[in-house]
Order: sequence, then C-alpha cells, then structure tokens
Amino acid sequence: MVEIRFFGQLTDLTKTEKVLIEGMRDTDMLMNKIMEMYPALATATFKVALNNKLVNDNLEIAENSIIAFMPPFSGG
Amino acid sequence: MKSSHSYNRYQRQLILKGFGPIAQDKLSNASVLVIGAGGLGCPLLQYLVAAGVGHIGIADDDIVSLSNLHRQVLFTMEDIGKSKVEVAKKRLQSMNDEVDITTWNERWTQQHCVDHFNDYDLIVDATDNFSSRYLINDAAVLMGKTLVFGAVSQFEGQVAVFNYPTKGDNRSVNYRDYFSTPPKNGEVLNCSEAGVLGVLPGIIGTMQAIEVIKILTGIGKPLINKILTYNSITHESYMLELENKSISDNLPSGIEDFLNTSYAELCGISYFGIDEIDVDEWDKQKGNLLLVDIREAHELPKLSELPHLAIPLSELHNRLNELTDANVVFVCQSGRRSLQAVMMLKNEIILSKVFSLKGGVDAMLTQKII
Repeated sequence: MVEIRFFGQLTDLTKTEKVLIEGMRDTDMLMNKIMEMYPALATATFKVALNNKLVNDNLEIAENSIIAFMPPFSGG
Repeated sequence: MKSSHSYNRYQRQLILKGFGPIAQDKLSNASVLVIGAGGLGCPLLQYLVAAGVGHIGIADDDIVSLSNLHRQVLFTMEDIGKSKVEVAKKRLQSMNDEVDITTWNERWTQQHCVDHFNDYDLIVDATDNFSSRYLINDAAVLMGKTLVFGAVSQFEGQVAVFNYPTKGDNRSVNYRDYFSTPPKNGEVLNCSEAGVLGVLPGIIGTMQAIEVIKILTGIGKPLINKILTYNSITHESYMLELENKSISDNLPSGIEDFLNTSYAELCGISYFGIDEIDVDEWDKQKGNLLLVDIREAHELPKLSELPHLAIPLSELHNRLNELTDANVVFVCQSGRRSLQAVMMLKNEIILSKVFSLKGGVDAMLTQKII
C-alpha cells in the first residue's frame, strides 16, 4: 500500500487530497495508474516526489511510501 | 545598540536566549528588498519593520482596492485608490521611525533588478504571478543574491530560501531546480481567480519574515534545498527536498541574456488575444455562439439569464461530445481558466471553433450584460 497526496489546485482535478493504492512496483507503473484514474491531470503541470524527494527517473517504490503530486504555486 | 530608546523598543527580543544586542545590530545594519506589497508583503513588512531591519525597499505598482482589505492588513478604507507603497511606507514608518524605507511605485522589471539588487543583502519575493517570480529568481541567481520565496494557492502555501551561499562558491537550489519552466498561462490560478482565505498569506508572509530574520542574524536553520508546503485546513506540512544542480536548467546564461528574456512571453502571456473574444464582440455574435460556463457548480453569479451550457473545467475532457457542431465561447470568472480550456482543446479533434471570453463573468458584470 502506498499513499498518494495531491497538492494545491490538482485537487480541483482529482477531487481528492489523498488516495491509497496497492501493488505499485515503481514510479512509472504508478504514473500510468494515476493518469488512468485521473485523466484530467494530463494537461496539468506538476512534479512528483517519492518520500519527499523529486522523481526524475523510474524509481522502485517501497511499501508504505508517500508519493506527492505538486503543482507550482503563484498566488500572493 | 543606538540608544536606550532602541533598547526599550527591542527589549523582548534582546532578552531572548541566543539573540541579544549582537543579533539586533545585525538586523539594524541589514537591508532587505521586498517585491510586492500585497497579501504576503503586508504582514512580512510589518514584522521586518517591527523587528528593526535597518533598511527596507518596497516595490509595487498597484493601488489599494476594497477587495485587498481582507488580507492586506497595512491598508484601511481611507486608503482605497492610493498607491500601496506610499500608504505602506507611511503606516510602517509610524510603527518604527528608526527604519529607513525606500519605495518604488513601479512595475518591477529586469532593469530594476540589475540596478538595485546589489544595494540589498537579501531579496524577498512577495509577488503574485509566475512572470515576476521567474524574473526575480533568475536575477537573484545571476547576481548572487539570496532570495526568500513565498506563494499561496487556495488553502495551501509554500516557503523556501533560494540561492543561499553554501560550501565554497556553491549556492543552494533556486526555483528553476523545482520547476525549470513556468506552467502554461491560465493553468495555475491566482488569488483573484481561485480565491484565498485572507489569513493564509498572513501565515506564509510571516513565515517568510522569520526566514529573513534567521538569515540576517544567523539564528536557526534557513529553509535551504527544501520547499515547505503548509496546509492551513489540516495544519499538515510537507517538506520537499531538492537536489542541488551545478547549473539550473533554462536559466539565462548571463545578465545580457537575462535582459533580453521576455518573461511575459515565457509565461505565455503573449497567448492573450489570439483565441479571445471581448464582451462587445461576443454580444454582437452571440446568436452564432454556444456559451459554455466552465466554472465549478458553486461559483457565483450564475448565468441563469443567458442561454448557456454549464460544463465545469474538471469535467470538460469527458463531455467534449456536447460541444461538436457549434462554435463555442468558454467563460469563467476572470478569463484565465477559459483560456486554459481553449488551449486544452487545441490538442483535441473537435469540429467547432473555440474562444475564451476576455475578462469573463467579471467583465460581463462591469458592462452590465448580466
């Protein structure tokens, strides 16, 4: 089981801040799953972080990991 | 310490363990440039002035309006229509006349950075748009200045310290190491479009103030190589750790390249106009156009007087089949999300032509169409 967190205005597209998913081996597999679950994310700009570190390549996901989807913030 | 008067003023922080007259002198000898005197800038400026930062620069080209007052706590109803920096300076100076304040009632540009960044120890980004944020970030990196970043989005806010000197000649990460390029224009909403609870920029602005005080006095650990995201609804915070790159992607190569960069274009602002239609033009052609309100269901005012289709932006992808034959005008509150909808549909095969209504429902209200 891994925990997915959506930040900022991504929650307008996903309608949820958190979701739990099972059986995810790596970040590529997880991305495919998330895009299938929330197709509206396809046009959004965001970064993905695995256990507080930015994901740039495909990384293995350990049980109980937290994966964050973070859009840029600009308001002031 | 200048005088017994100063001692009395700062007595509560002077007696603080690890602070004392040495830290106070560091503050009074320091200079900080705050760009933006809005939701983040107002609380931030109040605390920097109250704490006794010796010299403060404030830049903002805006005037005070009624909708600012729920979060921009330096301003009162008597100030509506007046220059923000002038009102801010007067108010701040009445709080602490030992602080020297310089103001720019101008839009901050690349040239301003080149001309003035070197006069300040520290730069604070308290702006509200990507174009200014990338411009300030790039100048800070190219000119070797530490930058305190703060931004809000609905109920969440972010704080970070960029380009802080680390070992040798190295510097900590900057915004380009997080998002190397800005998002498409209209995709990420600002406060006037997405809304903001007034207290949130108050919290984030004061978090920026504490970072400034920590950096200037050497107390504690500044938020370097990290971005803190705070959620005001749950009180949860999330610390993102960023890796330092030797050269940040997409950063201008030097000052000349920086001065030649169009930050408005970079942030897609030049897209404005191409796929837009203004309220007058729409009014003339409305018989041939299907009006589609892409705001979410809770947003007001409703367009009940006008024939229209309501498809929230979040559902647009799945409801494209409702758009086929007609030429479409998307409308949202201010014209930003509707532009996003137009851009989104550029990648879809649909038969109709699509436009964004410039100025959105706000413009319809101003022109008394609704």
